[in-house]
Amino acid sequence: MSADTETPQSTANRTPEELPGVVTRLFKGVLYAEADEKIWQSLLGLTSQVRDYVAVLGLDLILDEPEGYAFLRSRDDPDATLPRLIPRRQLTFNVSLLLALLRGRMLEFDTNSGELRLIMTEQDIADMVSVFLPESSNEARVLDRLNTDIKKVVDLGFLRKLRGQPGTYEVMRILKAFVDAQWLEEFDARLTDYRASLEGVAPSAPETEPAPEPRENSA
Amino acid sequence: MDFYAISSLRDNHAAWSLLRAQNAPLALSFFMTAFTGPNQRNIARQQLIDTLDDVLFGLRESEGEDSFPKAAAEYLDDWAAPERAWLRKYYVPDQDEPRYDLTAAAEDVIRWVEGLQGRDFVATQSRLTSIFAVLKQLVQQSESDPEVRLAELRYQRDGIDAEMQRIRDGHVRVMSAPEARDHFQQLTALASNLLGDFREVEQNFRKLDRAVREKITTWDGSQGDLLATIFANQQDISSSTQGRTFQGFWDYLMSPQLRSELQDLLTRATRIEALSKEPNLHAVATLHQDWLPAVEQTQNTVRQLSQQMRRLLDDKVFLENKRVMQLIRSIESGALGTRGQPPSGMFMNIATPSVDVALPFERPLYEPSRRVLVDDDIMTADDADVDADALFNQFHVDTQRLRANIVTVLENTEQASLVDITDAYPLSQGLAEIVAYYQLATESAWASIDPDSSQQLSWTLPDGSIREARLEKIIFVRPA
Repeated sequence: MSADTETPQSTANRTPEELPGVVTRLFKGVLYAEADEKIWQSLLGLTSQVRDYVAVLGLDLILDEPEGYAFLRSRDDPDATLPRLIPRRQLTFNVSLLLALLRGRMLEFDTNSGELRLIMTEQDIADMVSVFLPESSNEARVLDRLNTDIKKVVDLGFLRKLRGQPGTYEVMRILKAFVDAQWLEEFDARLTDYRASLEGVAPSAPETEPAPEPRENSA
Repeated sequence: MDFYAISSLRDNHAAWSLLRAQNAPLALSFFMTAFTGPNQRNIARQQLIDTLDDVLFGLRESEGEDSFPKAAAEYLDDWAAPERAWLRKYYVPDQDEPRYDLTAAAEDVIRWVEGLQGRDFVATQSRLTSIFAVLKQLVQQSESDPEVRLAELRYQRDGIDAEMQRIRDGHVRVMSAPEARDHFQQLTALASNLLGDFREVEQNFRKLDRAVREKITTWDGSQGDLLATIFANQQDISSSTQGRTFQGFWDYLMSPQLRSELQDLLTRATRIEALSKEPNLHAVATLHQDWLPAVEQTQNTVRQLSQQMRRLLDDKVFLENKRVMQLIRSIESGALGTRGQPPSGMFMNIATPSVDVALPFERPLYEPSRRVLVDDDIMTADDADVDADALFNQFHVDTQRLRANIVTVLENTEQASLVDITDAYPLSQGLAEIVAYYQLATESAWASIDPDSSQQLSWTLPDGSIREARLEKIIFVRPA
């Protein structure tokens, strides 16, 4: 009997009260210190427990305290033995380029100013991207396409619409964690391959050959 | 300063460009109304737009509709644009509405323009007194010879003794009214200048911060060397002349003894007889309350700057930033190269920041509808104890009936007062009926209410007693 009464005690020691809340919150997406102060504080106290817990599922906790965000990432799995828990989203070239350019803008912003938040209007984004768009007589169509791309980036959580100010976005700092040197390197490499294939002797070469990534979004 | 330095200032300095601007009078008067007048900083966009709208409305009334064609928001955006830089627009954490503050340059212009107006009264004597005080302090406190300092203190003591003796003898010298005004004006000028200085202090901190950032981006050597110079520089910020005087001011303001002394002096100053007619006497009494938030904001700026700096200097970030910059350059040139023929289809993929947990049992499944039983048995309640009279004692004043009464009386006469009508048709519902008549009179175009004369109405209650009411005279006239 005494062993029975002890069991809940010891499980309580192993899983602190806030742990389920913190972990499930992280499962749902990026946790921002600014937006979710309470959970953030619990996370800071429970970092090692959270790490241990998600490690069982092949996930890593990425916690950037100065930037004030945390999220889960798949652990490097070279043999691809684990089923994928974290879905990957496919991006068109334009969306990929937009992400890279936004990343560049953020770096510039960080090195040039002491402000905390990078705010851009639709016009700013259009100005930034337009150099890289094919010259088209139909400006409206180009802008329409850009708007779809922006919407996609908003969906991914890297841009956030400001309340009460139409056409104005905040570039979320989390972008830095996802569009990192490794990602950009891959982008650069694929782009170089693509250019080589364009200039290549075989005009019938396939237009794009994105690296084999046969994972579908598990729906 | 030579010709070229001045010429470049004229071309590039925000303050000079403000003076040359077409809409300078508008901008300056608005800045005074919104910022320097009420001593405000950190104003939210909507509030600022409202203030500017008021200013514009007033101006368009007097100057004509077309004099200021742009909308308030456009003016604000224009003035906060980097090439103008008269307003600083920024975002604070957790708020989506931008905020504005005057830049130090705009503030300088405002003070200069205000100075142009000329003063009917210039505080000269008090200035001389402050020059003496500052000079004395400078000379005495820089003196390292103890003998000289002691001699100086002894001299001061003798002076105080002599003064005390004079007061004992009955020679109390009170500051004359002009002298008091003189000192008071000096005080207000100093206080408002001080508030303005905070803006400049903050701007100087930003400038220092910028210099450090520039050094980081253009750094070619190793990271260790960079850190060494940065740490030297970090000390520069706090140990710069600016930093030290600011810290001194902060310590001064934070000392409880000095604060209570200041508070005491200020309240006593407001009670001085000779100053009782000064218009902004009470603003001075609370000037330290304006200082605290201003100083705090500057402190915040410094804290935020150093936090940002920390992010930038984080060693992983430092190395990655260089690599990221190179890669983005390379991607940009690649993208330019394929501009005419961009890759189609899916090109890259990116991890989402959430775990894909599908919960099949969260979905609503088929559920057979349940039969709802309707119980239609009616039970007769026992209501013997309930007094239903209250229900029937409610009554309704039929305004149709009252209107008919008025019309009937007016058939025989051109006009009738309410007394005439109630004589013909006695009041049966008391005060409620009078109120209904009153309402009819106010709604009707054919009735007039004369507040200067009154009339008396009476009615009989069911128990035989008589009630009377006195009200303004109401006269109904037959419609033409």
